[in-house]
Amino acid sequence: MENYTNILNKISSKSSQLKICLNCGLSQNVPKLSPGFNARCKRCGSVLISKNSGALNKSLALSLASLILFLPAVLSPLLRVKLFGETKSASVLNGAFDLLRSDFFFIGCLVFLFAVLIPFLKLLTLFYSILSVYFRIKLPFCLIAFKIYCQIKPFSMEEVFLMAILTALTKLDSIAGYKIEIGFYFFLALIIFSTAAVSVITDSEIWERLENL
Amino acid sequence: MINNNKNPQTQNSIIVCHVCQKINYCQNPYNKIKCIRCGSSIHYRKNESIQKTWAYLIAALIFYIPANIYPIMTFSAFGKTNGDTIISGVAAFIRSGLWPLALIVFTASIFVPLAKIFGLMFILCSIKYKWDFFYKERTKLYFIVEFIGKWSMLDVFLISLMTSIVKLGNIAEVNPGPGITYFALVVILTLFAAMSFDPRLIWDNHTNTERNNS
Repeated sequence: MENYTNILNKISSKSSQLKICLNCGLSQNVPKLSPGFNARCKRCGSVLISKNSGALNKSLALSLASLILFLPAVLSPLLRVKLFGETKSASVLNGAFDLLRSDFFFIGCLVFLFAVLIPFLKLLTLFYSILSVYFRIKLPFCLIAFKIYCQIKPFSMEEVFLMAILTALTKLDSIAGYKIEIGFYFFLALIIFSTAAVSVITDSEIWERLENL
Repeated sequence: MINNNKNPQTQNSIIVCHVCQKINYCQNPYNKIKCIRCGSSIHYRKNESIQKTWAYLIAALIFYIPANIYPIMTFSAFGKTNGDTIISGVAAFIRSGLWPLALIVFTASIFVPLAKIFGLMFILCSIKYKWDFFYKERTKLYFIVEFIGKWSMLDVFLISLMTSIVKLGNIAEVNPGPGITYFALVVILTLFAAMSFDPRLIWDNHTNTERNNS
């Protein structure tokens, strides 16, 4: 348990920053934080700033890893079903394109958009803007790339797709025999790496660094 | 329109950007202004937040009816075809003893959409009648609604997977039913509803805070 003066020492009180809480609208002065500290809104308690240093290289590595993993995760077969001597395997992209060719064009579009295109764009824009921040060079359109990242982030649903795969496995168990293929492991690794890449660094920190390039 | 005069005295002219959380100092907050950092248009509160949220919610509630009436998935084996609606799918899981699966599908496709629609309606009504209590709780409720939103796409993804895997000609085939289109629309509309709502509206008639103007 740290005492109050200790905490006060860690917070360098030289400059404070005006912040407006996005959740309740209260404006307040937030002192400059040391790495590892969070500032919460004094009215509604939601996190205003959270500082974590040294996460830039982690985030760069993780987003590069998930970009490399993306194509095999989406293209290679997830699982193989064996039913009455016939086998059939499917990948993430297969599922979307089968629906696009059938009467359910809208559903196919949604699956392709939410499970393939938006996660890919999210990783690409994140990697591009972190690359720009990491090497301290203003790459063209890095601010626009990060703006796109912030706006499409709520629509990226690859982890929901993973849950759907697990549910499908249990459901298939009652119908037919199945075998998990390599694509499933690629997809699992993609989820782990991309979630880590998104969460090791806060958006506001990248914004501030992009601004000061 | 925008001046970089960082004077915290002019409280009324501070607007925070929704996209990048940059604080913008501007003279006339009612003009159309762009964020100085990311260039997206900024407003004091999200534009017509309450009307938009109501519109999306009512549309979602309307689409929720056909989503439950029509089958979301048809399973045909050896010439016999039977369709499953959302509720009968859950019931089938319970009958075959797959309790955890039934719980997941029930949560994702029945509980979450309804919780989102009625949770947001509750918050909107509480703003309309200017409740002076449960501020923190209502903000938390909004966060829960926003967080659980995308998980109801699970059923749509599940059907896309099942369709492409269980496709063995005449022997066994899974096809999507018309209900899934309506269900996907419900999910999308509730996602938009949660996004167009501005949680700061909850706090706008908060009485016992000294600086409540930004």
